[in-house]
Amino acid sequence: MKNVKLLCYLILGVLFYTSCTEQVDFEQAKDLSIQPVLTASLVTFSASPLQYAQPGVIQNASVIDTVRLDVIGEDFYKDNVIRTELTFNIVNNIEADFNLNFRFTDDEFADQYEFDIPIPEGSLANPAIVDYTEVFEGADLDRFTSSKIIILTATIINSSGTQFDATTTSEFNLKSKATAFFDFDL
Amino acid sequence: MRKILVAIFLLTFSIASAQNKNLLFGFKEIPQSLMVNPGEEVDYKWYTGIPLVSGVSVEAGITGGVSAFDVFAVDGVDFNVKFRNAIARLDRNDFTSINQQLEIFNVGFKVGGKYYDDIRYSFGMYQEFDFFGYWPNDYAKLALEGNEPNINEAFSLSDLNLKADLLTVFHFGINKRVNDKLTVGGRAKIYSSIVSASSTNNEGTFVTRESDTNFFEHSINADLLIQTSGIASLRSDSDANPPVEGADIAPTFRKRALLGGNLGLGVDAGFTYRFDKQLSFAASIQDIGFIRHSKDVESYQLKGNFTYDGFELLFPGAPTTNNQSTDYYREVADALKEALPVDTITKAYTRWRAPKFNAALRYEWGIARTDDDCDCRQVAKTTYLNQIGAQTFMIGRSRSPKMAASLFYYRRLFNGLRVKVAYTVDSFSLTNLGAGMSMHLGPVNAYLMADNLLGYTNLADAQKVSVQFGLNIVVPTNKN
Repeated sequence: MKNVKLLCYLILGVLFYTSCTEQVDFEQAKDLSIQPVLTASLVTFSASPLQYAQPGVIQNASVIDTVRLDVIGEDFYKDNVIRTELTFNIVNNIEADFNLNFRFTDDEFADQYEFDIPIPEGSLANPAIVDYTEVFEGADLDRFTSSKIIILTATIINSSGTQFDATTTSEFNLKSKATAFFDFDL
Repeated sequence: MRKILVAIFLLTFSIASAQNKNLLFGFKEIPQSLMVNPGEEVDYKWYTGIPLVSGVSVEAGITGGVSAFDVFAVDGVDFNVKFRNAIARLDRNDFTSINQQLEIFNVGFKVGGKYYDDIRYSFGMYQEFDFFGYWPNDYAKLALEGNEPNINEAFSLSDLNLKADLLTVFHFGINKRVNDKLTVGGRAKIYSSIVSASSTNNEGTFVTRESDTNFFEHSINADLLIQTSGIASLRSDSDANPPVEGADIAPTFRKRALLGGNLGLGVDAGFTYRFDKQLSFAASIQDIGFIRHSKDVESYQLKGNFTYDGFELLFPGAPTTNNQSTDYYREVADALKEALPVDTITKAYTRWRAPKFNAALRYEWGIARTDDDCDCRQVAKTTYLNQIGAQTFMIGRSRSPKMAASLFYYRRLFNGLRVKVAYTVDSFSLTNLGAGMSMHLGPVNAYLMADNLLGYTNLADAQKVSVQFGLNIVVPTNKN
């Protein structure tokens, strides 16, 4: 009986005395930072010179559209995004310069931020290709996230007075995407 | 032949088990061995578990070679580096498994003749919590990296695959020694589900592809279903009448535990066959059964397709008021909601329990001298001191069955102590050494078993921990 007891103590002893935990610190989870990068297509448009043409000659003319982007004003976006990039790819084979103006305003159309993308003239044989990225960080990002509305003004600048015939296939094409750099701190 | 052996070896190592009570299986001195094989060659006149402490088992594990120590060790390494390294080791077939069982009561008795060819009944009730979840690999990748570094890569929505159950089980088992060679047994079970949540049959992908019309085309096709029962009425915004809140939860759980919840039926079956006095084979299946969830059901379904590649500007002109600005984003969001609606369903559903399979080939030797009266007619079975054997375990899980294989050695030390050591391979660990012992002091039986002993030198670094213990009063047949 004594031996049984002794053996039991021995087995229990081996089990429990060897059972231990080397130093771990679960508080480290506080340092966790997750930084996913999300990207999404934004607007597109294509324009033919004829949309801007008075009979024969293109005038200096503008078209305007507005995009509401409530998502950027939401707290989730404001609290967790540390950098935003708007990237544009423009292919212009129209023989005229363009200017793209982006105005960011709040709900009352008060300006928050503004930038321009000048596009040189191109041709069907030799299109002008512009890749442009506007980066929002720090104070610029704050102004970006205070915005609700983006007003895009596309202006054709036909300084050379080029004539277009009604069958022209020349076009102006724009692609865009938004990329948000998140930083989640737990 | 070598190829086959290597294949079996790899198979055994690549998949793993939980709820593997390999030490208890075949440990016939412990009445709870009947819970893993109702056809065990048990030998009691009657037994009763000490209520609430007769059978306690906890088992938790994670595959993929990741432990808490890897991530939380105090080693001066940046936590985010350790976290990412740990995540990088996991893939979609790694899983976490937690199982806990607590016997509320467990009683058994023998009916009939004097010796071994009797029928034994056993019945009782236990509570069980079971969680099984595959690592949601693509969801985690999307959350940690985003879609930007993964253009043209499809994220699989089927990576959401998990289930959690809290239930009680009422069981009644019969064990019959058919002859000297064969013992058979079965156990009927009624499951009483307290809460249940599962999502195991999801399909679909999310992909961001390069596009001609814009930078990217984002497309999602989803067929996701999350089923819950017993949870909706606990939510604070529940429309259950009356809603279950705060102090009401305990009585509600008690009621559900006592057959007032969603019910199910199941069976266990098993046998032991003796080729001769020393060589035997035993096998069992457990929990071939289902639970029908019809009360307090709330399921969520997300099904549909949506593709987005930006929106084309229409240039309607300058807005003069806020209302005139075109809300393209809202239009896209509305289209998304329409194409991919989240439906709440209260339709009843049926879930199968995770079936378990055990089998062992055992060889005994070394006749024990016992203190029992001289058995001149030799009706009593010879008792051997040693036993060696090979054992296999399998549990059905949603993607594929998980397996384990063990080698064990059992030794009877003195009359009152039996020990068993086992070496197990499963994908939690390649060096799983387990040990169990059963002490018999008069009618008092105490047992303690722990798996993965090498892991106990640093618990935080263990991929799997498993402990079972209990206290019974056992009166053997030959101690009339």
